[in-house]
Formats: sequence, structure tokens, C-alpha cells
Amino acid sequence: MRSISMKLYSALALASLLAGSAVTAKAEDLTIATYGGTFEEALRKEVYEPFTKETGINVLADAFSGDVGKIRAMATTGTYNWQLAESESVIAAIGCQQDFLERFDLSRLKLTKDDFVSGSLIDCGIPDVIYSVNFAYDSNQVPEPGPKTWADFWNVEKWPGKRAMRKSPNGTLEFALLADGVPMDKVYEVLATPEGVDRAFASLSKLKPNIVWWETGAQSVQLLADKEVAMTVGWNGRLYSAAHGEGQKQIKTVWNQFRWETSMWIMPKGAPNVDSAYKFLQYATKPELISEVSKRVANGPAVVAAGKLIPGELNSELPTSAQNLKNGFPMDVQFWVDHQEDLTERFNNWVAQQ
Amino acid sequence: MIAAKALSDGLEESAALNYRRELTMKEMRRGVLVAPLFIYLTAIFVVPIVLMLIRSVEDPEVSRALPNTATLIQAWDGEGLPSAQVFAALAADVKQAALDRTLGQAGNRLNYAIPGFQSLLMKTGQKISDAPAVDATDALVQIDQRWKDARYWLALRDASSKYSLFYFRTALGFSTSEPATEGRGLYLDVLVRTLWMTLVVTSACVVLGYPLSYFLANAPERLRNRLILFVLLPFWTSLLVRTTAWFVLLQKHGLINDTGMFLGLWSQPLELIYNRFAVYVAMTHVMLPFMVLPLYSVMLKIPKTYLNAAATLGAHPVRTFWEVYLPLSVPGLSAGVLLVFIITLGFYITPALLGGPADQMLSYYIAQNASNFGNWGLAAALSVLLLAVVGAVILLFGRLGATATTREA
Repeated sequence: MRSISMKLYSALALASLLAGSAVTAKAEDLTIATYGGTFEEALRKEVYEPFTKETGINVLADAFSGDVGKIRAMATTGTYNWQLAESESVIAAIGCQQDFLERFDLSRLKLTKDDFVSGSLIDCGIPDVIYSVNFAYDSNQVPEPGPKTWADFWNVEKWPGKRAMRKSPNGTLEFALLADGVPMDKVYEVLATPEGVDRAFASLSKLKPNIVWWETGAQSVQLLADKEVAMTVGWNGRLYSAAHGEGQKQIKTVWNQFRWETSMWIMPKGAPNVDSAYKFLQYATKPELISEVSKRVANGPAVVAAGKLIPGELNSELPTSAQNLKNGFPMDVQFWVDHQEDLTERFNNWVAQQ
Repeated sequence: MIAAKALSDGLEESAALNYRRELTMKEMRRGVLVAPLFIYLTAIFVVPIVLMLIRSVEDPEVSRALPNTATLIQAWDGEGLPSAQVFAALAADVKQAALDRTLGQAGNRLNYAIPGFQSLLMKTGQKISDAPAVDATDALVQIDQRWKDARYWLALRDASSKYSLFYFRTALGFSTSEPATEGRGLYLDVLVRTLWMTLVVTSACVVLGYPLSYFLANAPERLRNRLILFVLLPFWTSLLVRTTAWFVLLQKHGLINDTGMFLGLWSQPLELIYNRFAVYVAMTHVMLPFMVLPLYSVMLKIPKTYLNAAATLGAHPVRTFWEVYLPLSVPGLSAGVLLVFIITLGFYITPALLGGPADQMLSYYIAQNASNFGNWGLAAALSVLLLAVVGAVILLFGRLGATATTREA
């Protein structure tokens, strides 16, 4: 009997010792979720670290996967894994409409609507950068001159090899229509009709035997670097850092018919530490900081004043530069708020058919 | 005499009473012993399952956000368009819900029925306050022509009660408000696929596991103890590690492809990953110990003398196996099959990592609906479907086991 209680006491003592030695998290600390990768690295170096140094508020990192269900669960149960996340605009829009995201008070940031790139700001999202979905090819695998349009991407006779695409209708169906000859400014108009959706799937079916699907951004560039595919659809920042990796000069990003969109900071409704979050957002929207982040990840800053701080040579790699912007089209956020689910369901069904 | 009898009866009675009391005490003590387990199971197993069952039939968003419309529209017979009264109720409800910010939740639910209903409702919510308060019907139709389309009103009526089978209808591929499109019936296909894949994996485990168990059970003891480690080691290794190991082996420039190409067996990398083949190989590997261990333990206990007896009586080895050994190993076989079948039904990570889009099982779609889309109703309905299949399999096995036992008797 005695030996058991002895053991118990020593175990308890050990447990309390361990608990005591753990890093003590302060109440005003922030947990920020991102999609990870080079973007998070850039944020940590350029924003989190100077922010912690100046305010004493620690920033803990969490993984964000864009799961609407998880954010809604946080807001309804009142248990928050993070206070801020760096998110796609569709999620910010859905969260605002379904009222599980916090509406930001711009005056607390001492900013106005005009401080952001026109049309990028929404009630529940503070824009940080503008990025794009492009395709890139491996110039060692496909003959030059390389592909320039989505019709070229679809052309496996002239440029043989597998294509990697995101396993999602979002950022796939648009390109299928472009490959089928729909002009950029008519894509969403066509896609809003049942016939347009049929047309997009018919176009996609032609390429289907040659498609490898990816689900995370890391996979998209990995597939290209491993020569599993000759071309891939991917986020421009990922493609940029892959092409600037060692011995990856053959990766060429195409700046034509690309789709651009805004990513933004979101906060689940009722999240604690609102003051810290606002302090952070004030920091994260500073032109001199967000321009540094932009430089590292090759995304265009969504803060107007930061745009002037981007050096000229980088501009050819940004969706927001004057030379590129006219060759791309913006994502229609409301379209995807409405159709994310039904088109995903149909897409999954279509993907599953052999 | 009689008194003595009465006395002994009384004694017996009190003894019986004592005995009974003792039994009750014993049972209570036993009850106390299992109480922690009982509470634990109730809290983490029974309660969540019941909540999930409830969630699959709950449908509260529309009646909460648009209460008057929900009440009034139930009286509508579905012919033509609802009455002006319903239009007026909707206009008022939408205006209020937009202020309360509950409109988006109703819109989300209605969007499941008709894609685009969400933005129709949001748009109406934004514009309704500016509309002249004369005639609600005109005002709504002026905001959007779709309010003249009976489909939207039917979807609204369908969503107006607090409980409904809407999510089950979606899961099983028939919906009342939406004409059949290509996307429908997805989950029924997935369910069939899940059952088929489970059947294949279970069969593969039987085919591979039975001879292996036989070999193990009949090997010399020292060798047996060493060999069984090779079954137990993978069994103790994390599922994720084993799945990732297959990933390393099977990928395009993985161990198998590189070796094969190095030896000149094939010149182009074989497509070994992101297909059904990879999923079957890895799932069979993962599940094999669940088949081998019960079989092995039962086979160990089958006396060799029975087989010798059959042989002495002149039975051919095949007949000996078929009529003596196999029936004696059935308890192990059925335990193994049941274990493998039920665990395989719920597989998630292995198909997700090694399979292509056509190889995903039902749990993948449950996860997708629950976390990606936040469509908890549909996720719950699909889970109930999976649970029902598991229940049916257990029931079927119980039946088969019972008939097998009676036949033997």
C-alpha cells in the first residue's frame, strides 16, 4: 500500500515539475493560423518578430486549412484555437454572411477603405496581399517556345507530359472555360449557367487522362520538381520560390490568363484578446512591413502605400504590377460563396468517374 | 414435526434471503467497479453518437431566421406561387433577419437545396429596406426575378420545419426541390465503393492470413515465437507510419520503381501510387494482423490428434482440412473477418494518402463535409449511414454465427 502511494506522490511531483518548467503563455499572447510554407516564414521574420520585440506580445503559430466547419465550430462553442488567420477571401465572405467572423472596426486601425487596393476590403477581412493562380512548366520537359495560354496547357500533343491541378473546382473550372475559348471577362458569366458548367466539365474531361491532382500548395511544386508532371497549376508565390530554389531554373511561370485574388486577416466571432489582435493588425498593415513580406513571397501588397516600396525587377513576378495585371482576371468571390459546395460535389463525382 | 418443518423452512428462507442480499451486494460492488468505464463510455461514446443522430435530422436554420414565413408557408399546397401573405411575411422576416445577422445561416441552408439561394437571400436582405412598403410581392420580384420561380419557394417550404430528413435525402441522392443533375447520387456510389473496397481487403486478408496463421500455429515453438514478432511489430507500429512507408515504396521515383528501372525490368516508372492498387496493398498490409492474430490463437488450440484421427480413419488430407480443421478454425476466422471488415469500413488516412480521387471511402466525404464545408447535417447523415452499415454487418454476422452453431450442435 505504502509503495503505491509513494509512487503516486512521486508521479504527481514529477508532473508538477514538468508543468512548471513549460513555457508560460501570457494572456495577451496571440495565436495566428496560416497556410504555412514560405508565407508564414516571411510573416514571422518581417511582422511577428518586430511585433513581439516592440509590444512584448508573443505570437504562436497554428496551421490554417481553410476549413469553414472548424471556424464555425470555434465561434459556436467559444473555444478558440487561434485569434487571427490569414485566409482566402471566399472564407472571409462566407464567414461574414453566416456571422461566424468578427466585423473589423477600421477606425481602431486608423485606416480607411482607400488605404487598401480598390475592392479588396470586406467587413470581416483586412487584406494583406494579392496573389494569383498561374500555371508553370518545366522547360527541360516541354519544348520551347513554351505554352502561353490555357489552350496550350490543354494541348498535350504539342507539349506532352502530365499536368498537375488543384483537386478543387475553384481555380480549375475557370481555366477549363478559358481553354475552351471563353474570354477572361466572361468566365463567371458563363460559369453561372448550367450550360456553362457542363461546358467547363466537358473541357476538363478532355485533359482528364493527363491530370494529376494535388491538394496542398507544397504538392503542386513538389510534383513539378520531381518531374512527376511537366506543368502545374499553382499559387504564384509557391511557384516563385520553387523557381528560385537551387537548380530549379527550368521552372517557368506563365503570366497570362491568371486569376488573382486577395488574401486577408480574419478573426472568429467572439475571439479573446481583441486588443492584441488589433495591435497586431495595425502592425501587419504597415506599408514598410507588408512590402517586405510581399518581396519575400512575390505577392502584391494589398496596402496601396506598400506598392511604391516594391523594387522594379520584382514587379514582373507580381500579379499586381501594371504589366501583369492587364493579363489576368480577378476571382468572383460571391460566385464561389454560392457555388463552392454544389460544384465541389459535382467535381468530386466527376473526378471519381474513371 | 410441523413446527420443526416450519422452523427449517424459516431457516431456509432466511438463508435464501441472506444469500440473495449477498448477491445484490456483490452485484453492487461489481457495479461500482465498472462505473468509471460506464461513465467514460457514456460521455465519449454514447452521448456524441446520440448528438450526431439528432444533428442528422435537425433542420432549424430557416425556421429560426424566418419564423413567420416558415409557419405560413407550410399551409401552401405547392401549386403556382404562395399567397401574397407569405410574400409579405418573407419580406418582413428577411428585413429582420438581415438586422439580426441570422439571414446568412438560413441562406447557407437554402443554398444546399438550390445553389445560388444564398446570394439571392443576401441580395434581398440588402435591398428590402429600401423597397417601397406597398406590395411585398412586387417588391421581392423587383429585387430578383427568381422570387417568381416556384422552385425557390418549394425549397423554402421544404426547409421550414425544425426537423427533417433533408440531409438523408441528400446523402441518398434524391432531393425534392432540385432536378436531377450529374452531381446527385454521389454518396450512394461512395457507399457502394466503400463496401466493395472493404470486401476486397477482407478477402485479401483471409487469403493471405489463413495460410500464414496455419503455418505459424504449426511451426516449432521457438520458431513460432520468433515469427509471431513479425506479425506483432507492424501491429504495434502507427498506422500513419505504415501508410507513409508505402508512400515511399510506391511513388513514381520510389524504391520499387527505381529498383525495377535500375535492373532494367521496366523502362518507364509504373503507376503504383494514387490508384486503387496502392490503397488495396496498404490497407491489406495494415489489416493483416487483425486477421492473423485471432486465427492463430484459435488454430493453436486445435488438437493435432483430431487430424491424426481423421487420417487414421482414411480421410484424404483435403477432406480432413475441409471437414475437421476448417470448422474448428471458424471462430477465429469469423472474429478476424468481423474485425477487419468493420475497421476497414471506416478507413480514412490510407486512401486519402495513397489513393486517387476515385478511391476515397465514405469517411473522406464525412470529413470533407464536417470540416471543409461546415455542412454538419450532411456529415451527420453520412455518419449515420456508415453506422447503420456497421450495425447491419454485425447483425448479419450474429445470425450467421448462430446458424453455424446450431448446425454444429
